[in-house]
Amino acid sequence: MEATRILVADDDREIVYAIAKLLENEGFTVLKAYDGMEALGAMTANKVDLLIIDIMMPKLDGFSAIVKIRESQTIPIIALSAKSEDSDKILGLGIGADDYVTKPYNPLELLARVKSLLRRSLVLGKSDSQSTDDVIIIGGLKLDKMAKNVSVDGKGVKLTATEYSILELLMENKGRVFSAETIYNRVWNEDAYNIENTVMVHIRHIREKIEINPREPEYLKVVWGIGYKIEA
Amino acid sequence: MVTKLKRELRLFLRALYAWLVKLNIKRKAKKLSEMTVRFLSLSWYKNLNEKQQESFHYFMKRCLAFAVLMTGVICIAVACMNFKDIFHIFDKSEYEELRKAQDNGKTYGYFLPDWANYDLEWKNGNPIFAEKFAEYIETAYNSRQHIKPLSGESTDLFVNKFVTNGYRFFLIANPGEKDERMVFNSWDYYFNYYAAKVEPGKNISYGDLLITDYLEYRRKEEEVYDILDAQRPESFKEMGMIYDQRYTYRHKEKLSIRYEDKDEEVTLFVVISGFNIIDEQVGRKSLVWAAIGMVFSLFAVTMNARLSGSVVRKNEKSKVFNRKTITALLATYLVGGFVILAAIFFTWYVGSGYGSYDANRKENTTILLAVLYAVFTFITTTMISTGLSAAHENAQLLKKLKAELIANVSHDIKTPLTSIISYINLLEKEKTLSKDGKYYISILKNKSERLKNIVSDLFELSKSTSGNSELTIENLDLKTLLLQTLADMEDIITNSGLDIRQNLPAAGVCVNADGKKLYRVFQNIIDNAVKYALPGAPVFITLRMAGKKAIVEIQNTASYEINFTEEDVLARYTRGNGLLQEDGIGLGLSIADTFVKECGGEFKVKIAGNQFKVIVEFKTV
Repeated sequence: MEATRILVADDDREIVYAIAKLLENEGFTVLKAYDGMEALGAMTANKVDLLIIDIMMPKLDGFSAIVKIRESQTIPIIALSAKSEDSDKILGLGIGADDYVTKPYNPLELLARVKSLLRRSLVLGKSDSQSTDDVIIIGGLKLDKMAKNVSVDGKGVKLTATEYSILELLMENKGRVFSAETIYNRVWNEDAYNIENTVMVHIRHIREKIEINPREPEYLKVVWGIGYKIEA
Repeated sequence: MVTKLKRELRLFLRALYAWLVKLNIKRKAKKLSEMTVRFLSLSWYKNLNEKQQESFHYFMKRCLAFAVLMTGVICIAVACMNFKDIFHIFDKSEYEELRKAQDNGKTYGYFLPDWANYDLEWKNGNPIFAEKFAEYIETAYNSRQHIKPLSGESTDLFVNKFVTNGYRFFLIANPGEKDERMVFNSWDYYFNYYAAKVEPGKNISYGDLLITDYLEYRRKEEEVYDILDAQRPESFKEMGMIYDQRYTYRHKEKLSIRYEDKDEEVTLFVVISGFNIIDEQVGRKSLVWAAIGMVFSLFAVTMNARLSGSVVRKNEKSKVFNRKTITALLATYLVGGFVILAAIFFTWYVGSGYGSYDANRKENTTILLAVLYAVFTFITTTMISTGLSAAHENAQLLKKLKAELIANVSHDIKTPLTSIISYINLLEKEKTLSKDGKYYISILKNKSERLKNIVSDLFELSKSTSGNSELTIENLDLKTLLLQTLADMEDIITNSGLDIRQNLPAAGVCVNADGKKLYRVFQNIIDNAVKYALPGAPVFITLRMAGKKAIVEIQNTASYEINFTEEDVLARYTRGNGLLQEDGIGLGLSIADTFVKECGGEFKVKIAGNQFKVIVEFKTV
């Protein structure tokens, strides 16, 4: 199988170089572009598997470039920007980016996100939304009730029995907010009396296992002061 | 009961306010001004450009505000003018003068009855009539006041009048001709015929007959009183009105009085002059006028004040004024002004006196003063509001500039920082590095991480201090939030080896706040506590209720000497003085402070010895 090709577009040459190095160390082939037009050109000239694109670039900005690319292609796109406003993130994800990483990024996190997106698009293909009774799939998160295992973006995750039960409960009720007491009731099958933060600590452990960046969870979200929920 | 009433009142006021807001006066005012243009078909209006038209409408709106204000103030003036009729102050000195005249043997005597020796209750220099009224009448009646028969062609058979403490009583005979005879058609008649005759040294005249023989007079009087005594009335039941709000009480339908060997049917009326009592009807009328006037003026003044805010920033929605505060302020201003005005009017009217009754002459001056006051108020409020709105504009601009500056700067810092972090990461992977090199890089990595955090903190802080951040206020449980935060920070806490003692209530404590922000608040506080707590000394986290407040206290023993004050901690952001050598207190507490305030809570720092305590207060739901 030929090497996966990733296009990195940023007007800051040093950043492009650093990302390229980072990715090449992992065995990816990296194409470089230094403005929006160049990125579009590289996209048409080569077969690209993933695009990392800066938002603020000369000639054609990242948002416009993403819109143009999305007219013809479905490849994963990571938007990279120093703009950390929620509104920018929402805009970026809204117009077609699959992920939004803010500068200054943590190189390891960027790498993990790149791999995650690639797994989802290349390995898992279009099996994303095939939830059956025994298998629950939410985004890249897959829970098999028969095999009692969980995988994230196709990569197996080791969970303890309690952690698995909690995750199963939350995934079965996607979007619903559970309080710590309810989770305790359902998982431990005991009355939630003086449980303090038992459940909360478990949740944090689960998050550390299934999330790329547990501080900014993608799936298992905390509803502060209320409870927890799973969201895609 | 009182609380219920208060609640009802509050609900009513809220409904009224909502209604007023719904009316959207500003737009209505503009429509009105457009209508005026159409109605008068002003030809030059079409020639104006959009901006000029806008200023024309602005001018019209101001005019409308002024007109409403004028109406309000005139209403108040009318109230004041009404108010002058409300009562006449029969004061103690007047009373004592009468008494003196009587004691000196002057002929006030028979006007002032014996019972006037009775102690009167005085309040602020005025006798209280209301409570003693019935009693006084009764006594006056018993003590046989002069009563004089009228002869000749006069329609009155008996007219008796006596002046007691401000009351005027008289008897009228021959009720066959009904009460109409009681109606005086002019003040002059009443004043000249009855009041003017009450003079020392003179008897009362009735028609052409002047009784100069006092004994003869007394004898006749006795005769009548004997009969009256036999038929002592129970009460004054019917009340009629004669001569513009002067009241008469019909004592009893019929009394039989023997006069010149004839039995006469007599009716006793007690007439109470409008001067002498508090006339509720006039008072009510006066109050209604005053209330209408107040509503109009307050409305006009508020509208006038708000006009400035709307013109400067047209389409942009911004709260130039805090409506409640400004309305309360203006209300105080207006009420104060009106009280002063009323005091001036009242002094005039009272000073103008009972006898001369020239108060009417002051009415023109009243209106003039009211108009002056309206103009003054209009100018003041216009100036105040214009000034306020300009100041607000400036403040907004400054805030925006500051926020933009910080946002731009932190963006500019972020880009090179990205490179630094990336290359440190690449360097880290170099296999050729010496041991020292690796150590240097680990320091670089550490510090660049910190720099990154500081930049993002700074950015966040500037955003929320400039009021640019978005809040999602929801109902949440403070206890759960604390537990969640603690669970989230479990690794940091375990690593620090600190003993965290939680003292949380059994039940949840619900507050309204932004969960994400509040998480940051407690994360920062606990982080701070963990960083600077003396190893071995416990950190206390307490959540308790005090009335309607939920209070979170996080207390730790400092591992260093506290050489700064409570203010210093929170002023850090503005002053930028490093408190501790290496890390400083950080922006953490400043962020916590700002976020708590944003969510509507209170944030306090208390330092006692080496105890460092952070208190966060929220109103419970």
